[in-house]
This record gives sequence, structure tokens and C-alpha cells, in this order.
Amino acid sequence: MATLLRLLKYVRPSAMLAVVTLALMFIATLIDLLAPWVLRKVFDDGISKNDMHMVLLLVLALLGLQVGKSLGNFVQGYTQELIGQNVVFTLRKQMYAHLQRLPFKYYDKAQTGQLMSRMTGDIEAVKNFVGFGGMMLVAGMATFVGTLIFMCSMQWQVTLLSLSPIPVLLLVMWMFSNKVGPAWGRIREQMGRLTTTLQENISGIRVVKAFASEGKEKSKFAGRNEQNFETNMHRARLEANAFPLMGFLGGLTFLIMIWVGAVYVANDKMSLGTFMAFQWYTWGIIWPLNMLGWQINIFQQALKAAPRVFEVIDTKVDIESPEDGGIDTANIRGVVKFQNVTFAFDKKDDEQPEDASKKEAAAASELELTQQETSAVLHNIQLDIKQGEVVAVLGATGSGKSSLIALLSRFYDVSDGSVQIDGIDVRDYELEGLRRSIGIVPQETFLFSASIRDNIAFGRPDATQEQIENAAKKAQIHEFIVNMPYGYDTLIGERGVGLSGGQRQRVALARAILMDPPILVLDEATASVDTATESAIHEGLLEVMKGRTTFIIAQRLSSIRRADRIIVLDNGRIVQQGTHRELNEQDGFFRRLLERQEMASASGH
Amino acid sequence: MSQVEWDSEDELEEKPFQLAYVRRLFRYVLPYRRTLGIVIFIVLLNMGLSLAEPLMLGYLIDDGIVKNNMELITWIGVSLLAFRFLGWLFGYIHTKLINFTGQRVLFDLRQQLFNHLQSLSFRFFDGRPAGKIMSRITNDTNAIGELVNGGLITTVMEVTHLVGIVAILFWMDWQLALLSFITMPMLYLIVSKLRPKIEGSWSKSRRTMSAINGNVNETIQGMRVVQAFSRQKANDNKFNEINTNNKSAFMRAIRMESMVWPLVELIGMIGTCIVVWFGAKRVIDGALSIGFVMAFINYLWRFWGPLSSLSKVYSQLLSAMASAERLFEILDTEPEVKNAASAKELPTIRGEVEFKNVAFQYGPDKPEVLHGINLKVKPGQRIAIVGPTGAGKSTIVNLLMRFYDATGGQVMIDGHDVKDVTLESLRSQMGIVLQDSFIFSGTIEENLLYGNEDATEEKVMEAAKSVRIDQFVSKFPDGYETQVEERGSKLSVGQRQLLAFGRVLLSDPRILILDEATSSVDTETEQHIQEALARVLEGRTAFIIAHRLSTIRDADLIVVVRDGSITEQGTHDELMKTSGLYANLVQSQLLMQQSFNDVLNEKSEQQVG
Repeated sequence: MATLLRLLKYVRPSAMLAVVTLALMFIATLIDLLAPWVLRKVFDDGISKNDMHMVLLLVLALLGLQVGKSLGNFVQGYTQELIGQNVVFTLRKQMYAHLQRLPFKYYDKAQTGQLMSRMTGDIEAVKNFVGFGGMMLVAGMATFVGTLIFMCSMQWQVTLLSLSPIPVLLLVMWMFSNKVGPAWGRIREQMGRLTTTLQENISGIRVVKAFASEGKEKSKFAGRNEQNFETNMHRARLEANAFPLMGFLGGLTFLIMIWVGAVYVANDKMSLGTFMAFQWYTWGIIWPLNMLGWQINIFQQALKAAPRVFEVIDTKVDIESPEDGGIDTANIRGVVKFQNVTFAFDKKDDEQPEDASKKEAAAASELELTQQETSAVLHNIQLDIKQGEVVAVLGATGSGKSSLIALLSRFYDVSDGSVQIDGIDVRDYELEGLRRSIGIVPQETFLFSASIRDNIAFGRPDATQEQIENAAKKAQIHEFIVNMPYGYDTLIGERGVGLSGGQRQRVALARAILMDPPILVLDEATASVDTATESAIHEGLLEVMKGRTTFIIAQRLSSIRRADRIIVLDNGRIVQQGTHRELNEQDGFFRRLLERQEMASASGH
Repeated sequence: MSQVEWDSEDELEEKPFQLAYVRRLFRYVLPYRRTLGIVIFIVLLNMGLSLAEPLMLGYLIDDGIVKNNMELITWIGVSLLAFRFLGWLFGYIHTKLINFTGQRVLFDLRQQLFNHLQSLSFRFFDGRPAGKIMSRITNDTNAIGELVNGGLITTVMEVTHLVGIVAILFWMDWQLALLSFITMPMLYLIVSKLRPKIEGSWSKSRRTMSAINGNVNETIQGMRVVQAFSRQKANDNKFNEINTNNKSAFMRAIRMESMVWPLVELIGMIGTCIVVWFGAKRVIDGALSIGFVMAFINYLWRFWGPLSSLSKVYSQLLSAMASAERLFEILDTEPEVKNAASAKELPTIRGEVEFKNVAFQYGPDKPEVLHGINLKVKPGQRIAIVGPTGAGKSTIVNLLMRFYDATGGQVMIDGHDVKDVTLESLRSQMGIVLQDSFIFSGTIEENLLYGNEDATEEKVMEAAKSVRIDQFVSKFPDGYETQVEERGSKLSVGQRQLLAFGRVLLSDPRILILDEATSSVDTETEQHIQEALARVLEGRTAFIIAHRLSTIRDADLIVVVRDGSITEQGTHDELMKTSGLYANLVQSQLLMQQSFNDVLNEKSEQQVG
């Protein structure tokens, strides 16, 4: 019911349209009801009285009514779909906009296949009901009630008698509706799983092939496919049980009417014309009833699909600009401070029910504390970075390097402490501006299906060709691009297929450079680039980094040569920091790294 | 979002009715012909019953009511009741069987497509976004399933219905029948004018829908970049545009579509009016009975229902044709890399690898990326491949895995050309760790076991230890049962590389290929892995692509690739004696090292100063 009310809210902007549609529908129904009455007149007043003039008049009236009805139907058919489209348009827009604002935390768990099936299949199911389905439901009910009234006014005894199967029919329908709802729920769920399996197979096809595990994948998909078949057959069995039975009961109404009617006419309790008209009217009874089975299907599908859409829209965006819009970021200079920062990915309180009693909550928070202790990725980070400083972050795999950077851009919010830029907590800035002030070259390069130019200009769609080329030159990719068949207009694929790993990283680098941010973050930005190119890139970056606060995460020493300060992370704690020399004098991660690399190159002699 | 119009090149235009496709689709129904035969038989019976009804009603009026024959009324009533019961039974069987057939065809088609996809080569996937392939397996198969489910039987049913009605009408009174069909040409004219336009606009609407799907899919995949660059507003606008396009295309189609049925009804009514008027006249003249006219009108009225159903089936058919074309396009794509007819099992690999004058190009119109590669590797050797980005390093190992087939020369393992052995026996003995490590959603353990489900606990632990997964897994509360997602950040990029590495080690490959497998792993862990590898890979051949000198130096053979050719090969010491690219590379690394030391000194001087 709540779902229905909520859907109704989406119809509200189209309220006028809905009124027009309903009005037209009622008129059309009325005309439908008038037609048999006119026909009755043809028999009773025309043929019986041998009055051809009357017949002609009535026939013309019939035609006139149909013209009105056809016009009405046309407008109604259009407007009802328009309502559906309006609702779907809004739903899609909301879901898309919301998806774009959901925090990284959400995507850590979300499956692309599931999201896709909600955006397409589920929204489609809602549309089917809101436009066409809903109107047909109302039209059906109106026709049914209207027909009853007309028939009762003509001959109430026969009408009521022939209605006797209706209660049984309603019972069948009610039972069907109760059962088919969960069945549709399962089908939608199952479809989401099938999509996910499929999506992972296609995205991971290289791994599948490398392991020669096509056979395994086939049987995995066959399992999903079989489930799909089963769930659908379950629904089909429900339909097979209900629809023909409903058809039978509806037909029984018609039969009783004919039978009893015939007896009544034979006994002169009813005119032949009324009998004829009744034949037409039964259509107005059977049609809505037959239709109702399908309506229930559409209705239940929408009812199961809508919450899946709402679930996404309702997911809280817990990382957004402050209520008052936040502090303007135009003048960010790039003084960065981490104050006592602790961070864990899973905050347990997300899963705590809100109405938990205080005692439980206290116990939970205690538990949470201990859990945070163990599961935290970063502990008590203290860091003061001057404007324009180049900071290298080193550390073992999984020591929290990328997390540190993610907090700066507010991809996640700290669990404790604060991250400040220019002395202001990042949570107080306007979010979009904050992120624009931080240019990131991520570890995993994602390029969009677009031209190279559009990919580089991703953060600044209004950039001039000159600016784009400049950025590309600094990233050492310009030469490569101009040698491509279409230069900057060359299209690259979803995963940047066609470019090697190193080339993709350089496009991503150019993309960040073009943003001209006061803070630059290179998260292993050159891991897939050979050493020679890497050196060249870093030479080019020297100029870029000038005056910008820069974070460099890297494994190779060559990448961090120009750093003003080096920070070494271990298990989420800063264990060493200082200049190259200072760290070299300490026994630790940095010196071991240095020694290893020295060894590697020294043995060349 | 991207400036690429999603619907541009390869979304096919809606195709006119094509007999070849229908015939081919029919083959999917063939296995179920017996079930279908039963359905058709039942449907025809049911049709007969329902066609008989108006005739019986006519009798009821003329011979029952008008002549006050109560017995006849009862008889007709009873038989109509029997008809209804039969209809119920028939409906039950029909609904069940037709759903079975439709769902089964859908199942077969989907499975066939999926299986075929598994056999297709990398090249097929290279250029196609995942979203597009997915929509073929889900949406396009659905369109065809629906056609079988609804369309096939409806066509049989409604065509017989139409023929039956027309036959009955003419049999009853051919003059009246002709008169009632006087409006047919008008109908034909309108429909034939409108239909193509309507179809065109529906196909436009479908294309705009696929644009929405493509856009959403890519946005979700690239969400991290979207947010990092604050692209939300620009994306919102772009999506708004696509969304609006879809809405207006849909509404355009609806505007025309909703014109058709009221028009058809109107034209139908003209026919009915003529019959009523003319019929009334003849009843008055005494030529016809009232019951007869009633029955006639009843039949005439039933004429329009099937017509509307058929027109719906027709548009269903057209959209299914477009889907069929897209599906058949995939099914007709021959896997470029496949088992030769005479392919035999590759015996247990010893590890001797030879590239004989190998050349490769990605397509006939693409430039050659490898030229005359000659390389001989002895069993158990460790080969390092070095060279600038884009030189063709990955391509060489891809040919060894037979992800692509060499366009010239031969790739041999233990003296067998890789093209002469079965893919399964080849790839199951090789292990490749890719730079872009793909993790399946599931537990860490499931991911480790991906290539070898029967591995013992002990083996799993050993592999985990070799790549140091055990160190971070022990920190998760759920340990190896921890759920990970395809792109989730529970694991860092480096950790995912390690997991992918462990997965390969566990599959116990005879030849191991590392394609920048540890680029995001810290040097210390990497060194640990190197040592563990020496143990694990005792006597097995390994190919290593890497940029870090520490990884390369100890290789038995270093191969330098440049612009698609091998320019140098030898051991570290041998190559250092030349003044080739490798020596340069090491030199520059050394220089870097020196300048790094300079930096150290510089900094210290500054500090001293």
C-alpha cells in the first residue's frame, strides 16, 4: 500500500492529465454502454414497429457515438501513456542522479548487474502499470459497474441472477493475486542474479579463458538459467490454474444471462430487444473480469519492482555538501592537515536498527570500538603538509596508502578525527568543488567510450584544444595520440581497450593535469609505465607540480625522487616520515627499499 | 558522459520481415513440436466451440424464444455449459503448455548464446562494451521468447478465427457479408499507410532505450572516476537529454499507435451500421429473422478482435526480427581461435617453448604488431620480457596462451604447435596473472579455488602464504570466507593482484606467465613472492613481464622487445656487455639511483646550509 501511495506521488505532477484521461475514459465507457441501448431501440422501436426511418436514425446515432468514442479513445490512449512516461522519466532521472551521488561505500558492495536490472527491467515494470495498466484497471471497473447499473435498470432479476458466479470469481482472483505477487518478486530477484552472473562472466572473460574454465561457467549459467525457467514456470502454473477458471466463471455469467433471459423472454417477462441488448452488455461484464487477471499480473509486477527502485533512491547519501551549501573552494591553496584520523570501512552502526534500546546501543558501541580497533585501516594519523609540498607515501600492500588519499577527497568520511584543507574540515567544503580541487590519477584506469579528447577533458568539458594538448604533452602521451589514425578524435573503448596499460595511465594523467587542481594525487599513476617513460613523465610533472600540493603513492623509487617529504605507512599507522636523507639514516622500510633497489642496479656492474 | 551516441553504429535498424530469420527461429521451436502440436490442436478445438456459439444463439432466439420452445432452450443452455467446461480444461492445458514451450525456447536460446560466447575469442570482446553483450542475452532473447509464448499461438488461433468468421458470414448471407466488408479497402489503406511509420518510430524508441542502458552501465562502471572529477552535473544533463529523447520517441510512436485502434473500430462500426440498417430492412421485409441478424452482427463484431491481435503480433514479430538479427550475429561469429578438427590433447607440458618466426596483426586492416619473433626457451627457464609500453610484450604471451592466433610463423610448446592441440588441454596447464586483476564476487576462498576446485586446504594455505595473502586475510573477521566484490574496495589493488596471483599458483600451471602481475605490490612483498616462486615453480617455465629491475635481473633469459621485434636477448650479464636498450635501461636506472643519491645529498646540504 505504501508503495502504491508513493507511486501515486509520482503521478501527481500529471494530475491534470490524469483527470483528462479519466474523464475521457468515462465518456468512452458511457458511449459503450449507450450503444447496446440504441441497438435495443433498433429492435424494439424500429424493426418491431416496421419503422425504417427510426432504424436509420438510430443507426446514425450509433455511428455518431462511435465517432465520439474513437476520438476519446485516441486522446485517452495518448495521455495515459504520457502519464506513464512522465513517471518513468522522473524515476529514471532520480535514480541516475542518485546513483551518481551514492558514496563509494555503496559501490563496494553493489553489483553492476543488479543495478542495471533495476534501472531497466524494474522501471519498465512500473511503467506498464502506471500508464496503460492502471488506466485499464479503472476503465475495467467503471465498465463493470456501469454495465451492471444499465442492466439492472433494464431487467434487474436476470441481471442479479447472472451475477451469481461473480463472488467465486472474486475469490479465485484474490487467491491468485496473493500467490502471484511473491512469484513475481522471485522472478525479479532471479533476473537480477542472472544479469549479475552474466555481467561478471563478460567482464572477466579473460580470466575465464585463461583458466580454461568455460565449462564451469557454462554450468553455472545453466543453473541460473534453469532457475529462471523454474520461477517462470511456477508463475505460469499459477496462471494456468487461475486464468481459465476465471474465464469459465465469467463465461458462466454470460451463459446464465442467456439461459435465464431466454426463459424470461419466452415467458414474456422481458422484451426481445432487451435480450439483444443484454447480449451486448455481457461483454461489459466479461471483458473487465477477463482483463483483471492480466491487470493483477501487471499490478503485482509493479508492486514488486517499485520497491527495488525505491531502495536505491532511498539509500542515504551520507557524503554530501553541508546543508548550507558548504564553503566555497575557489581559493583553496592546498595546506593539508590530518588530525588524529582513524578510519574503518565498515562502520557497524550502519547495520544497527535505529530503535535499539539504549543499553543494547551502548553494548554495541563498545563492541564497535573494539572492532574498529582491529578492523580500522588507518589509526591516529597526524600529518601537516605545507602548501606546494610534494609528499611521497610508501608502504606495503594494504597498508592504507590509497585509503589515506580517499579521505582527502571525501570518497569516505573519517571514522574519527578530521582531515583539513587550509585549516577547514573537508566536510565543511562544498563537495563538488572540493573534489575538483583535487586531481586524482587513480590506480585502476577507467576510460570512457569516447574520443581521447573527451576522455582527457572529462573533468573540464569546456577545455580548449590547446589546453588539452598541453596536458597531454605533460603526460607524455601527445606524441602517441597524434600518431593515431584519428588523432585526438580516436575513439577508445569502455575499458580503454586498444591502449596498453601504460598508455591508459598516461591518458588518465593528462585528465588530472587538465583539471589544474591545487592538490594533485598520483596513486601509482605510473606503475604500468616503463622506467624510461616514467622518468620522462616525472620530468614533465616537475613543472606541473610547481606550487601544487602533491601526493605520490608509488612502489618505485624513481617515482618519488622529487618528493619533499616521505611518509611510510605500516598497518594504517605512520611509522616513518621525513626527507629522503632523514629516512635513510633510520633503519626501516625506506632504507630496506633503497638497499634492495641499489642492490638490483649495483649488480649490473 | 561520453559524446558517443550509443545508438550509432552497430545498433541495427529494425529490419523488415525476413523469412530466413523466421525459418531459423522456427528451428528452436522444432524440438517442442509435439507439445506445440497438442497446443495447436486444443486451440483449434476451442476456436470451433467459440465459433459455434453465435450460431447457437441465433437458434436460441429464432427457434427457442420466438417459438417458445422450452426444451430447445434447455438443450442449448446445457450444451453451452458443456462448451464452457471444455473451454476451461482447454485453457488450462493451453496456458501451461505454451508457457512451457516459450520458456524452454528462451532457455535454449540463452544457453546457446552464452555457450557460444564462451568459445569466442578475445577480439570479439575487445571492441564491445559489456552492457551491449548483456542486453542481447537478456532483452533480445526475451523478445523472442515472448514471440513464441504469445505470437505463435495467437497467429494460429486468430488466423483460423478470421477465416472461420469470414466463411461463416458468407455462408450465412453472402450479400450481407459483402456489404459489411465494403469498408475493408479503407481499413487496408489506413493500416498500410500508418504501419511503416509506426514501426519506424518504435524502432527509434527502442534505440533510444538501448542508449539509456549503455549510458547507465558505463556510468556505474566508471563511478569512481565520475565522482573524483565531479562530473555529476554534466552527466545529469547528458542523461536528461538521452532520457528526453527516449520519452519523445516513445510518445511519437504512441501517438500514431493510439490512432490505429480507434480508427479501426470506427471503420468497423460503419460496417456494422450498414448491416444493422440493411438487416433491419430485410427483417421488416420478412426475408430474414431477427435471430439471424443478431447472430450475423455477433460474428461481425468478433471479426475485429482477431485483427487487432494479429496487428499486435505483427509488431511483436518485427521487434523480434531485430532481436533475432542481433542474436544471430553473435551466433554466426566464428570463434577465431578454436580447436582444429584434428586437435589432440597436449600431454603434460615439460616447458619447452619456441616461437618460430612469429608475426601478428590484430586484424587484416590493422598494422603488424609483432614481426619475425624467434625465441627458444628450455624447460624450467625463467624468461623476462622487457621493453617500452606498447612494444608488444603482452601480445607475445597472449599468443602463447592462444588468446589470439599468430598470423605468421608458429608457436610451439614441447614441439607441438599450439594450434594443433585442444584449447582446454593447453590453457588448463598454463597460468597467467594479468595486470588488471579481475576478482569474481564471492568469498576469498572461492576466488582462490577458481582454477582448481579440488585443491586441498593445505595447498590453499601454501599458495596463500607464497603470495602473502595470509597476512591480510587474517585481519578480516571472516578470514577466507570474507565476501569480496568485483570492484569493491575491501581489497586494495595490490591485494587483488596478490589474490589473482594465488589463484593461478593454486591451479598448478606447468608454464606460468606474469604480465606485470605485481606492479601494484610493494617491493618487499614482491621479493618474498619471487623467493616463493623459485620454490613453487621448481622446474617449470615462467615468463615475466615487468618494469622493475629487481624482478627482471635474475631471469635465465632476458628478452628485449621493441616495436614488435626482439632486439636483444641473453642473460643480464651478457646484455650488460652490449650497449643495447637493456643496458641503457639499467644505466638509466643507475643514473636515477645516482641522482636519487644526489637528491639525498642535496637535501642534506640544504639541511646543513
